[in-house]
Amino acid sequence: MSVILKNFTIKYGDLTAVDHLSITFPQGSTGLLGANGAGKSSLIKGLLGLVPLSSGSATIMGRDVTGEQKAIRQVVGYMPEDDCLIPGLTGIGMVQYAGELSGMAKEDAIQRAHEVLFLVGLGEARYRKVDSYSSGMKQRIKLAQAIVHDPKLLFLDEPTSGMDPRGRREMLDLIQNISSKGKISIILASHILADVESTCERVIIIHNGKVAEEGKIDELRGSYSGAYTVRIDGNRKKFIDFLKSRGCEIRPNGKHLMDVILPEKSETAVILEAAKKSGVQLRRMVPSIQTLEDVFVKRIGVNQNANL
Amino acid sequence: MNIEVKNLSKWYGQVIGVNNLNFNIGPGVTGFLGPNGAGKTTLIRLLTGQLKPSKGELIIGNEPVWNNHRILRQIGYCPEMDAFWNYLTGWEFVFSLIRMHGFPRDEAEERTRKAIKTMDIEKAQDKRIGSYSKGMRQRIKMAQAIAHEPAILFLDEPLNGMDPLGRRTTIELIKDFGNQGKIVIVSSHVLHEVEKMTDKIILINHGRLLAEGNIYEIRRLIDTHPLQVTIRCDKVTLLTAKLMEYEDVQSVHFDRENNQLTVETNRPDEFHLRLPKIALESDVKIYSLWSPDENLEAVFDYLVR
Amino acid sequence: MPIYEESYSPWYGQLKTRPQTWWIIARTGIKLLWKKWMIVLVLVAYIPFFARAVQIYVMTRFGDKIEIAKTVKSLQINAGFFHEFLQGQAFFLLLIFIIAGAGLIANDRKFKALFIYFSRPVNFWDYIIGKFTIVGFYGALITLVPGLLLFMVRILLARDAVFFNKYFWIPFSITGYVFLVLVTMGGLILALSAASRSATSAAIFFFSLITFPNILQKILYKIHGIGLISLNANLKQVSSQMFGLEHPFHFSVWLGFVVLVGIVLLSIGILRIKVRPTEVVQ
Repeated sequence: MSVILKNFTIKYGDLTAVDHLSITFPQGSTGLLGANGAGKSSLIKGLLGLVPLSSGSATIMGRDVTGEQKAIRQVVGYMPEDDCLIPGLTGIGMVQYAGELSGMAKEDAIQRAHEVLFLVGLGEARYRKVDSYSSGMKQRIKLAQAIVHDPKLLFLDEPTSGMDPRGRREMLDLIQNISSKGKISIILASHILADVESTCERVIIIHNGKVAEEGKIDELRGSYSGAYTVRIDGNRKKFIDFLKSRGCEIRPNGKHLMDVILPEKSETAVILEAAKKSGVQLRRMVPSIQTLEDVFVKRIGVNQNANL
Repeated sequence: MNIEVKNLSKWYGQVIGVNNLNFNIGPGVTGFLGPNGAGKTTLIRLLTGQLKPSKGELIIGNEPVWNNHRILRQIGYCPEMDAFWNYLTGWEFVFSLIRMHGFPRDEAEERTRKAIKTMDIEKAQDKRIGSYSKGMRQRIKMAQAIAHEPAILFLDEPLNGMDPLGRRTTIELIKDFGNQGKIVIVSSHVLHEVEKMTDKIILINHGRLLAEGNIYEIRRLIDTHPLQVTIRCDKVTLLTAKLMEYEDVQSVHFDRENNQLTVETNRPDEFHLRLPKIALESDVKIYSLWSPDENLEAVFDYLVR
Repeated sequence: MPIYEESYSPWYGQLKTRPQTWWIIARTGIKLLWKKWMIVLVLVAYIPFFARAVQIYVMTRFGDKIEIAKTVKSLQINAGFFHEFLQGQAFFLLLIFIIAGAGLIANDRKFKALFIYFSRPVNFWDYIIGKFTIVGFYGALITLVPGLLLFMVRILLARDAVFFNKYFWIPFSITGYVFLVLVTMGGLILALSAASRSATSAAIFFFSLITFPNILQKILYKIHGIGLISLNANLKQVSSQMFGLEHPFHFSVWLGFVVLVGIVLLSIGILRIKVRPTEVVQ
């Protein structure tokens, strides 16, 4: 039920774009991270059968990518970053057309196109020509054409690009929905790590064509380190002094927050006491875990801008 | 220097772009937010001197903006659109634009060099823009906006297309500019990134001003939505019972599976003051505590209909 | 009775193993173009057909009774008649190619529709042949169909088999001529459409490439072989051979044919460069 790559390699002459990738994309969502030019687009091209593999293999639900290349594209869906439309067609016309091109019979395509258009939130708009669509609508119909044929592997490239905050949230919810209800492996390529964190269970970080890091997001972020990120409102000095007197270490974290590192065998009660004793409001207290961004920056390094 | 907007309106024939806006922007970073079609683009065009107001005043540093080259020279603009001369190299692009500002050749070269270095795009400066990736195009656009060291910067989706490292460094850069006393206006839909840059926002919808100021203060003013506070602890039922004794707690949502509870309080200051006391008195261990709707995303959600 | 949610549901249908994508592209494109102005253009293009049908009727039934009919050669229903009819459709054909063809690929490039095609089981030839069929359909609709119909009208009106015995090969010539025109001009408009993102500039380019060499050829007609620069002239030369008629120009028919083949190959070359499935993912 997944997408398995073994020593997947793509070379353009001397240039190795993808270097012996051996990874598995299980059912559900996997984030694909990496700097621009790290090999993401070559990976997609290879899995779509658009460029030949220099070596290695890939199977999607048991079907070999190097075999019948056209057949592979019937089980893959691709939502590109750039806007794309079939000019002159209505929304329903375009999604139906896409379905038929993937091999669906006409009646199946019409019925499924309507279903999918409801899912992405294009109601009456589906009867209008796609040339007139707003950017949010264009994003939705891009998703619709990618899933109309119920692919086994779905590539989403910056799916929230250009959408306003409400649209972004709806799109991320949609992706969650598809991920949990469909029998699909979703690969979400995005630079907005918070989006990846909210929709994916796993990530793969690619750098220079190789896998730099891979695993469940929770595991990569690491476990709680004995520190808490705290926000208070009131007499900061009194609060900090109390904590220090109990052996805590304090580090500022931006303008409003501070990180409190508890001594061993201490619990959060000490923070509560500090708040009570100094008469401040305790507005926030959460265990400090790395964010996915921290993981990324650590792994790839701040000065690795060879591939902008 | 301040930006003063007084009764500003702009319409195109019958279509309204912005309607009777009144606000001031001072030094530091300010976020410009609003749904698509809200009027942000019109407002930015007005502020960068590309459009003439239909009504009202737009003043920067005591001078009106329209057709005012003295003021326009102090503005740097990084647009969202990708309209480039693809055959120019990165260097040529920034250099020619800064020459147009009137700087002599040597100084223009120096400034170009500096801007390109700041935006970390030296390695690609001699390649043609047509070959740039999206992130690189973004960096060269920014370089062009900052090269003449303007006092005012308008950045429209400045992080668009940048990879996570680029995003982080650019956010730091934007904060730096704010700290240097420049007026930096950032328009973006990615709210959690705006939050990293600033507390100050201007929220627009349907061409009108919805909110202006500090995020937390704005949140405070939204009394239709009492503040939510989520607490994860070991004795959920006990803590819930204790908290409910107080009148300001309007509702409680109980989540046994995750050992957490979420209350809504219409007097958050008092609530947060008494919470540590109650927890300590009842011997409840609090594992974590936060407000799920005291962030920009929630503020946006509550205000934009 | 279970409750059905409105969330994503998998599809349990079957996909065709080898979908005929070129045909899907073709029929969608043909339907898209079948609009008011296209219908009007096609109807107007049939006016010559009706005029000619009347001519056939008059000549067949009353040909030996009217003096003019016997003496004026151009009224005769012979190979030249059919050849001339087809040539007469040239103006409408030009319009059809421009209207139906100029935007076919240019608009796809402008709106980045190629993503949607090539991320599916569609390859270069599926796409090109599908697009060509669209322009070929409308082109054939106003040349091949009326041409063959005119031949049938003559046969149906005939009282004996004399005409048929002499001219039975004409339907083949009609088909061959139309095929030649469609492939050369159709290929050209497709190539120009692919070379640009603007349907208008493709149209202007196409129009210029057809008319200016033609005008030039007419002005400089004294220069031997000048006809080779004009697509029109080459088509006239080669088709005159197909209908067993006198050659209007002085250059060799085979040379003309080679020029036509060259144009087709050039068009395919341009298409190959401009329409690249692998460039779809950036």
